[in-house]
Amino acid sequence: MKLRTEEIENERKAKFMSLYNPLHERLVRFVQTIVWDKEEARDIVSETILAAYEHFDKVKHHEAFLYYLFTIAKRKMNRRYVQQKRQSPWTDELNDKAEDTSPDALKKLQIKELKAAIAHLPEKYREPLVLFEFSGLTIKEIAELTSLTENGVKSRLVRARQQLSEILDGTLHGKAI
Amino acid sequence: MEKQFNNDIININNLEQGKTGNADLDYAISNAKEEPLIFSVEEANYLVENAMTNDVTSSVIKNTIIIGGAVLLSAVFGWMYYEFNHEAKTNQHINTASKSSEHFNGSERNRIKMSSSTTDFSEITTGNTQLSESTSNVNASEINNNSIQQNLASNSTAFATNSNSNSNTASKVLKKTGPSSEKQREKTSNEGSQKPNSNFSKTIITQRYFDDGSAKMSLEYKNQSARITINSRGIESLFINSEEIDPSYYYLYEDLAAEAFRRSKIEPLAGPTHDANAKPNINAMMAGALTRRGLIKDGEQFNFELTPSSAILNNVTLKSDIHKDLLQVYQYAFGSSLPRGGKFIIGKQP
Repeated sequence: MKLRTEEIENERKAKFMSLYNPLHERLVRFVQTIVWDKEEARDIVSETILAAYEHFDKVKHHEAFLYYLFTIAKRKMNRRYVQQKRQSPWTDELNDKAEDTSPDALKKLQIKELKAAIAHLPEKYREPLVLFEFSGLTIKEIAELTSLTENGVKSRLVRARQQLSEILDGTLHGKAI
Repeated sequence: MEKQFNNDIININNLEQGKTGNADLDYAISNAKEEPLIFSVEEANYLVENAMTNDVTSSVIKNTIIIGGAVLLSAVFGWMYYEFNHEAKTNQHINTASKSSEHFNGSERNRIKMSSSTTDFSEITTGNTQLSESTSNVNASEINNNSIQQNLASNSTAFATNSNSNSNTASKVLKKTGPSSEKQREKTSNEGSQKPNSNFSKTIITQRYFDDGSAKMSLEYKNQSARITINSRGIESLFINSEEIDPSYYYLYEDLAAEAFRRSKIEPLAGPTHDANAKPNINAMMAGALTRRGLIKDGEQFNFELTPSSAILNNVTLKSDIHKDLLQVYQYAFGSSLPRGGKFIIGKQP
């Protein structure tokens, strides 16, 4: 009986991983671009994977797995955002500790500035932008995920890019050569 | 404006990833995309593998409960069978015993009683060693204390009630032995030259927050599953491998508690391994909060006065953000906020 259960579990795991693996990088980029704190981002990713695996049987069509996975990640991040409002001052300490002095510090500073600028975008622009530019989702996929029309996604992307350029204008360290 | 609008139309129809029309922005985005991933596929695999193990474990637990239930039911049916079919026999025992008691002294009487009752129960509990063992223990104690008639009449009831109490005792024993074995294990692990956080897997399993400011999380600790609920006062509950740890043993899990507080970003006012349900020492909590904020040194004597409008430490008024922070510390420690006109004072020892 135990052997049978293990067989079923192994099968389920293999199925889940075959669907998850191609989306791994997209998911992690999505989370790590929006969530600054590395530990917190890791927590969100792991929570997302576990929640997705736990309720995996609810996914009837494999094509829907991408939306299923990213919807869970979005919810997890939103919940954290609410949680952060009553956070203790420890967070700042943690961020301070994250300061680094490695040789490619300029590049990292630039990434930090970009992430800060993204954080300043309104949520309705931030999400499509990160999904499109960093996670590599297509406009059609973003439209499905955000319940918008494809044209709606496109116009939000254009505005997000404009606002991002305005925020970063003059503040960005290190320019394109 | 019109030009901007036209640009939008052009962009909308030719949206390409990484080509925003702003070279600096494109460069920054490409750099960000080259950033290493914070979570590897191997970790994801490990996580799913771990989740699978947990599920299998829970199914094994479920099976155990089902089998346990079946054994218990069979015991109940056995008892009922005994009750209805051996009623005459029991009466016969009573009569025999009563007659015998007229002829024998007390100790002999006890011997008769023991043999009769043990035989009866061995019939009921055939195939269940644990139950028969506990029953014989119960009977032995019953026999030493009660009379023949009482014992024979209440044998079956005593079996039901005392087997429960026996199982409770067993669980208490387990609870006590659990942490002591943990203690030994921790001792051995400390002897080795392990890294400080090598007791934890990198992946957190679950983490939940509640409106009352507490957080509950499950994490892997020394290859065991740990479930901990914390609030700013300390640990509300701690389970290692589904076994609840007695608050007096919390001190053995300091690294686990510290990790939980660190991850949930809750400030442990009375230390990470403090029992959150114990009566709080508010003065110590406040002193700890002041020390952590670098306002006083550890063990330093100080004068502190906190009111809803100000916080004064050694005759110096603290900044408003620190004051608000300390009011929150007070609230967490005391359970309610400092009332208007209220004053919280810690004075130097004479």
